[in-house]
Amino acid sequence: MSHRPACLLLVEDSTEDEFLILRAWRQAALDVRITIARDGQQALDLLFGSCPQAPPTEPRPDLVVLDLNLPRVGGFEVLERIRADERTALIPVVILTSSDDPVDCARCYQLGANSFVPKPVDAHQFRDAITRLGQYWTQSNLPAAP
Amino acid sequence: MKPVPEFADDAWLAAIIDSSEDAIISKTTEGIVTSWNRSAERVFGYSAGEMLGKPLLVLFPPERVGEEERILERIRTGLRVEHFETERVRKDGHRILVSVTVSPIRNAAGQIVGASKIARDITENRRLQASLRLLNAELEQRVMDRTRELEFANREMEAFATAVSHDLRAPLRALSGFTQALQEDFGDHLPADASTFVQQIATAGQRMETLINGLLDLSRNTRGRLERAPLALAALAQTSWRTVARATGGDLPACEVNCPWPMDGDPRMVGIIFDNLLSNAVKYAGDLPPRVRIYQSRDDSQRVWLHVHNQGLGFDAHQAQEMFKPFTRVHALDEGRRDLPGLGLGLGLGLATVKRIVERHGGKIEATGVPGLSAELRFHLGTGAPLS
Ligand SMILES: Nc1ncnc2c1ncn2[C@@H]1O[C@H](COP(=O)(O)OP(=O)(O)OP(=O)(O)O)[C@@H](O)[C@H]1O
Ligand SMILES: [Mg+2]
Repeated sequence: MSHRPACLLLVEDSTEDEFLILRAWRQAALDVRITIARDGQQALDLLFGSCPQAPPTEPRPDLVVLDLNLPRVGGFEVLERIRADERTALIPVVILTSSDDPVDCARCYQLGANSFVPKPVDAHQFRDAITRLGQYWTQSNLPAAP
Repeated sequence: MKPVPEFADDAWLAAIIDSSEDAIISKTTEGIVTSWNRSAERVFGYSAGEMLGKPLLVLFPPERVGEEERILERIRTGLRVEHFETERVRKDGHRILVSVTVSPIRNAAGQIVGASKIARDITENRRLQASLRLLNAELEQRVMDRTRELEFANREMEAFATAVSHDLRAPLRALSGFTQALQEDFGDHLPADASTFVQQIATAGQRMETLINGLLDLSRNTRGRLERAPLALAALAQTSWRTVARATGGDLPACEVNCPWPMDGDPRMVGIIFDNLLSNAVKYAGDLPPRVRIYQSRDDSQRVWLHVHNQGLGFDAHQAQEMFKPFTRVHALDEGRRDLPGLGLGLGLGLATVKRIVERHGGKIEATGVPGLSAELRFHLGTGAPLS
């Protein structure tokens, strides 16, 4: 368990999904600081600078939760760029997507994703999956050494 | 070549020659016509009177006059000219295509005294052949175009189904999630009616999710490359049977499989066929104990059919046609054992999936049933290259 709340970058274009994800983590009283990117480009800007919104004190996130189907720059490309840059190569990336296509899943792992979680449609299952995902990656799992 | 008597001497031979479909002409070694049958008149337009004693050369188009000398040359050395295809000119000036065979004629002493020539008008023949070739090429092209269109349409359709299903899930998730939030956060303040309505929204959302998952399965199960291989039919069938048995709590009798003839197909897809047919066979057993028999037959063209027979609710001839359509169920909700979890989603997509798989193999599926008694589905998986 880290002494500071884990920093988490949530890359999610749907405001509805964002609401439901944040609600699930709030209900689970997850101790996290969450930054949100609405598309792939914003996510890259937040990770690699050149974004005025990025709080200067904000360290690199401990975890990236990444949707695949994103405007401007897609999830696959964001994942590739994260893995290609040594500053971010070790950050765990969890893919959280509407797709449960095995082809997408295989591709994500090939590109170096740490986990592939299809978003359940059913509200209970969705909350359950989001909660467990949050708990595992911010509490049970040690962040990568800097 | 045997010596040939004078034509006129032999009335019998003359009759044969006269009734021949082919033009039969004889000429001297110098190319002067000595006999001219009736077909020669028809083919070349000249009467015997006009031709006897005349050089055959009048039939040759100007650019081919050299041919006659070469033919006569061969004849004089005792050789034949066989099925030589060339052009000649009729009396009316029309050019015709002919196939000619020319042989030397010897007298009783064995000396070459002339030549017999059999000519067949192949103009029409050639024209037919040419148009047939053209038609064939056209047909081939059309088949190719159509196949490509179909492949394209199929891919498009599958991509469309997948995309739509995925895209439909997002709003559905919102519907489900916000309904839950509404119930949790405001449930206490809602009038009883409103709570019921919210519950109904949730139920409808669940139903819709099931439908979308079914569509996704349909396109996923039937897409991808089709890999033909020899099928381990008994093993595939028993694997599916075990799955079905597990879903029903394992209280099923053995499934009788008798498949001596080899069949080719895509093992994964044929597994999906068995999953669906066997789960149906159990689901629609009605009050009868599920008894399933899998066997083979061979039709007139030696194609191997696989039959899945079960006792149960059955269906009539009309239902047998209908039930292959997506989302079509021919029994009332409480008839089949739809309560059995794990035996398909109960959407009416099972047989649509099976039909699509069979057709992708270039095969065919049929159903016959006796209402209240039994059902039988049979299919073959084509032979040659798979349709994509
Ligand atoms: N062996 C059978 N005996 C009697 N009726 C059958 C049999 N197989 C299929 N049917 C009828 O055909 C309908 C369509 O079958 P199909 O497998 O497509 O759908 P389903 O079993 O209802 O749902 P799903 O397969 O999607 O879970 C069934 O609902 C049933 O009415
Ligand atoms: Mg079925």
